[in-house]
Amino acid sequence: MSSRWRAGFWQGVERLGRMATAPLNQWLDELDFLAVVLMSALAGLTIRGQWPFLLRHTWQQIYFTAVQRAFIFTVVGLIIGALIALPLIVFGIHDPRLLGRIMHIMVYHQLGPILAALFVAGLSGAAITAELGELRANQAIDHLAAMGVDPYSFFVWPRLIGMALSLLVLTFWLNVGVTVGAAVMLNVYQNIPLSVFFRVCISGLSGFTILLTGLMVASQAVHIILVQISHAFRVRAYVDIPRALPNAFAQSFIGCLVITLLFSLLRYG
Amino acid sequence: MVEIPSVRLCRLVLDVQPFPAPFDFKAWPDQLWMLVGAVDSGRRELIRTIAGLAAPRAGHVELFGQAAERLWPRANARLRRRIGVVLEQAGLAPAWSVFENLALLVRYHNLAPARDVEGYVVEFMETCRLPHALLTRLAGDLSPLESSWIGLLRALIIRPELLLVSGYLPRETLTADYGVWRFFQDVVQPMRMTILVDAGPQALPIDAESRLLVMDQGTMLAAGPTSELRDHPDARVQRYARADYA
Repeated sequence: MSSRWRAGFWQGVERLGRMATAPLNQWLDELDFLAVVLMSALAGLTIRGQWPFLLRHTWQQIYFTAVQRAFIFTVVGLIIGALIALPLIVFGIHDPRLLGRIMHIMVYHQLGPILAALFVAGLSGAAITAELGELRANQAIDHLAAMGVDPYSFFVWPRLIGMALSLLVLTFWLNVGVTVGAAVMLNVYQNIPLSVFFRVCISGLSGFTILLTGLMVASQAVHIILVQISHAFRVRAYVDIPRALPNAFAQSFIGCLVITLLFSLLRYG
Repeated sequence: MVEIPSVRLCRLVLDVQPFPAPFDFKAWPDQLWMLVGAVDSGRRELIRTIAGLAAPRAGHVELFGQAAERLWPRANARLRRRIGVVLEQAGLAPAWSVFENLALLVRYHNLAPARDVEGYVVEFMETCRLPHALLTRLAGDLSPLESSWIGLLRALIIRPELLLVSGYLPRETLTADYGVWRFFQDVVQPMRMTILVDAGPQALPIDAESRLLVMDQGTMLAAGPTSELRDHPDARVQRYARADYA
């Protein structure tokens, strides 16, 4: 009996250990995948005729991710801006400089990039996983690989560049929407002139904070793409696609939160 | 001029269970080989291994005199553009049109200048006697029969020197009186490529001219012209050579 208890105890310890190391393993898998993608891209892009594909598919990715979603991001940005302004109105914060500071710390540095990443992971990321998962399940990727098309430089690289550029643009656009939404609410309820609010919001921006936010957003985009595509490449049959989609979304979003946390610690810590 | 085999398998051990015996095999240009054998005899794995989609347990695969696994990615890509592959599924991108599916490899491998790609694809469809109307349709809207034809065409459009076919070839016709065997005789064989077909014993007629590669338990049982294999000491080989599947 005691040996059974002991075995159970050690199995429990092993399971706990596995749970604890799972995020690290996922991170290492992601780095491994990134290394393969980079090596493949370096080798693939030196082959004649690859650049038109890269440019064409990168533009397609930007179109599907940024251009088609611009309207949604505008609406979402305006609503979130209004929602952020309401507690400030309730607390009776009138000082424009304090309001500008709140916008910087809360929205531009943290909430804006997180929301943009959430939307992009859910909309474009899921579409990428579904599309590539289907190509994997119906052997299209196998066919192309066997006939000389490098799946990493052909499928991953354009999406990586397209997603990074799109997420930068969308984060900026979302922040613009949030600023306008908050400005309108504060103007209506607290008579803070729009021009004053916009000025305090812009004046707090420095080259360093923009660079740091840009790096954070680019890291989030790379993370989203690597997670979504690595899940898609693990698909073996059509039945795997419905399982891959939520897992990829959850993993990419949690990763984006961790990236934001790390950059915030770097910024304020 | 010394002729180099299109495919050379050296002491190859396929990654199947149980551990199979190693075997050697050579396929020369302009030869058509039909892979025959029971279910799970390793035919599919052999095609995947030659195509570079599966790694062997031991031995190596040489394509046109080069060991593919030892090449740098760029040289490997150059080598692989000489190979056409048709696996069990058609493997088309469903959201793309048939034209985009066919044009992809033409563009990727620079087989025609950008402005001539459309003409290249249309001309190829004419050569294969398939209707142009297919080109504008989405691959996802095609019937399974149409998809398998387009999958075969995509492998042939790069005018490969080696064609690997796994799974069932389309046995029915898309155009009246034009079956797959006539397609092979009229279109594929004049391209003078090496062909390895694992397409089920009934896909192409086995006659005295054909060559068989008989697989069993992950290894090669026999290989050679059908006429020679009819008197092979192994009864299983004789059965395939005499096309006696009853």
